[in-house]
Amino acid sequence: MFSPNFFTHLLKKYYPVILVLPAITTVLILVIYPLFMSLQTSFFKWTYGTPWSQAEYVGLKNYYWVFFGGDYLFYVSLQLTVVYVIFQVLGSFFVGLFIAVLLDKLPRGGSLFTSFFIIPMVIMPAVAGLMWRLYFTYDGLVNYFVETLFRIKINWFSTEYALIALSLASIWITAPFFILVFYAALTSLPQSPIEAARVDGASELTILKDIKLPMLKPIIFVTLILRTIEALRSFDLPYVTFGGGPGSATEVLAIHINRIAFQFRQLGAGSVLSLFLILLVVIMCSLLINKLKESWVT
Amino acid sequence: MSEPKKVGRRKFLYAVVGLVALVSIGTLAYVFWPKAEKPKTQAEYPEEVYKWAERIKEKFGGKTLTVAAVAHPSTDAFKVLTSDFEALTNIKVKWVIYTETSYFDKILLIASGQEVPFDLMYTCAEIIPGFAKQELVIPVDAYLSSRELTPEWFNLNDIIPAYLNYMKTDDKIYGIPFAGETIFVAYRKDLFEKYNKNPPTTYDELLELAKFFNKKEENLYGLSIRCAKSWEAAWSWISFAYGFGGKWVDLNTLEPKFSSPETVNSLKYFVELVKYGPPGIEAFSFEEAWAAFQTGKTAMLVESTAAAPSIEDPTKSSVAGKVGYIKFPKGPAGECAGVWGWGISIPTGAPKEMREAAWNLILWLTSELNADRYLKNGGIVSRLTPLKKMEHGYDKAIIDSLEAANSKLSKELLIAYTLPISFEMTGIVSELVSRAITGEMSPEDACKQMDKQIDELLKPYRG
Repeated sequence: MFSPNFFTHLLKKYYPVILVLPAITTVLILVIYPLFMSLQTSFFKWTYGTPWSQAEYVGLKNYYWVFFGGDYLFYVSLQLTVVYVIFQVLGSFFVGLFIAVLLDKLPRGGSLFTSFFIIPMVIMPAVAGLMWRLYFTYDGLVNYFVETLFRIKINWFSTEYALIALSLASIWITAPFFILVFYAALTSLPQSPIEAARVDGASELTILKDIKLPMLKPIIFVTLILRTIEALRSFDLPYVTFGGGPGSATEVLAIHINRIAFQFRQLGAGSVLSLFLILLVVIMCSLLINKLKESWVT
Repeated sequence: MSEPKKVGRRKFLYAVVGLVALVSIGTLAYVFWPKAEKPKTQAEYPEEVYKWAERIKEKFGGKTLTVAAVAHPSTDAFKVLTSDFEALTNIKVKWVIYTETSYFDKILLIASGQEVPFDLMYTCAEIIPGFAKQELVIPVDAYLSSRELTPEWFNLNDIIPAYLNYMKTDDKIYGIPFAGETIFVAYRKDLFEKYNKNPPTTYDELLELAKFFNKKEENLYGLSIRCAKSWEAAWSWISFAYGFGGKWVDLNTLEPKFSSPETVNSLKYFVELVKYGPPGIEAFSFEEAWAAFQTGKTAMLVESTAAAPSIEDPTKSSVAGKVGYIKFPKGPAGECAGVWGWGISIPTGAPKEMREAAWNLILWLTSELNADRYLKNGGIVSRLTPLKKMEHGYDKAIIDSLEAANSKLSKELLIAYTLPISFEMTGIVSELVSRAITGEMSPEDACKQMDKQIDELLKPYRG
């Protein structure tokens, strides 16, 4: 029964399974299991710091508490997250695209400047957050420029400006990602249609608008989706810079989850919020995958 | 009977010379004989300390103690003291340092584990009751009552009782306090003299003075106080709340009392007071509150007494030498000043065989023996004798504030602050105080919301 042929046959039959087994195991341990734990925890009232044996089954109460008014900051936080994501993603996209186009226009030294622009991306967000917290103080660096240019000083730590300040800091950190990707994409575009347009007398703006950007479309879409996912779950920079405050001015979803789960010690409600965030990210991911499929087909 | 023999002169001389030679050799031998070498330390200690250290060295020499700590001036001072402890006992001390903001989240998670990777950890007024109830830290009374395990040079009686109290739960001591603090007011003497004003002794005077000095000169504001959302807004407001005759929680019934007229009035007052601070005060943590005063931007600072050494340090403060100190003003209901601070405890889950070594490190760091060196290196005082020796002029204000901290209201405040739910309660209160400060909600609504949320937390404890 257990002849060498049997094993060879088995190996041949299950070869693909054996190959993907390490990846599947890793995903099971690092993704599926914690996800399952979160789902389980969401049905329990479990105080952070107490043993699991003390957790009490409460059914859908945590869901009700989060979505139907118990958590009075949930919808505020969701709204802030949407505004923050739009500001951050669009802001860094336009800054990144603008700088990448400028770099592409440089006759030489584009790569050198790109390395220079990458610096914010390699700085740890926690360190960058502390740095920007200092820059945004009333007598800080940002107000020095604002005062020089506009003769006014802004209280960046007020409820009106805190989210704008946070978005500016995040644009500084995330724009290099767009610079890097768009610069690489622009330099590798086929030159013949561009040269043909130039011969036909098209201006540089027309070339960018009608030739380069349409060719960059798949890349633009993928980078936007990737950044949106990152922005949705960003925690480190908002936490270090404003800690969700003042008031609830910068309490984005990830900060809110942290407060509910670890400061208010309600792990059940925290899990509900985490699952909600995961759902948002999954929706974004499915959009990304569909778009990628489309671009592969075309 | 034969006559006694007469000793000859020469022989007598030989005997004397011999005796002198013997004494000299003995003396020289005593002076130059190689002695058992004392460990090289930065300071000299009494003989009993070396004996104590020798005993520990025999038992624990070569081992390592790991301490979970926060970035704090006292930690820097402890590190200086640690080098002598290591030299004397041959025990290596490893410091794992967190920021204050992240420490609470992390330490609860770590301490709840079966095996805690730390032999010692910082604890504080807010977490001791909860940790004690969950048996996450061990009581140290057995160590303190043993003369063998606690030498006299430690001197427990010199620790300020108000500070020792916050390390106690159910009459057991769960660690030793080292950086106690209460609240007081620092004010710019030069400005007060210039405008002929007296320092505030009541809440009304404090508000009046804050109004008066706000924008009185270019880039000058009324006062600086911590208001950040994390836990600091609650820290600042609680003394005012109890001073107004308000309460957070009724300790007899465990009902929240945030909506009582006194508590609501105290929040209204606090929100009004903060308006006379510098721009950005709504996000001030203690560092920013200190910095605003130390750079001369505010006429007053309502802060922890721990700020005093930094204010008087000319390398950090442009107002050093120009500052007067006064105890926290009196509220309509009487004197009240909260007491807070850090302590050092032994986690239950830490390796049992190292508990005695850990206790010895606690003794070393917090003893009266090392109190002067601890203070000289920037440590925050928690003992009475060194406090009385201070010469900066803030010692009296601290001692007065500590007296206020012993008032009936203050004691009630401390118990409320150290309820097992204090950690969550502080978070909720801070967030809502922060929203009231920014005008997102009215003080009345903020208090109502506090009542509602804290009520949920207290329900299981009401039985």
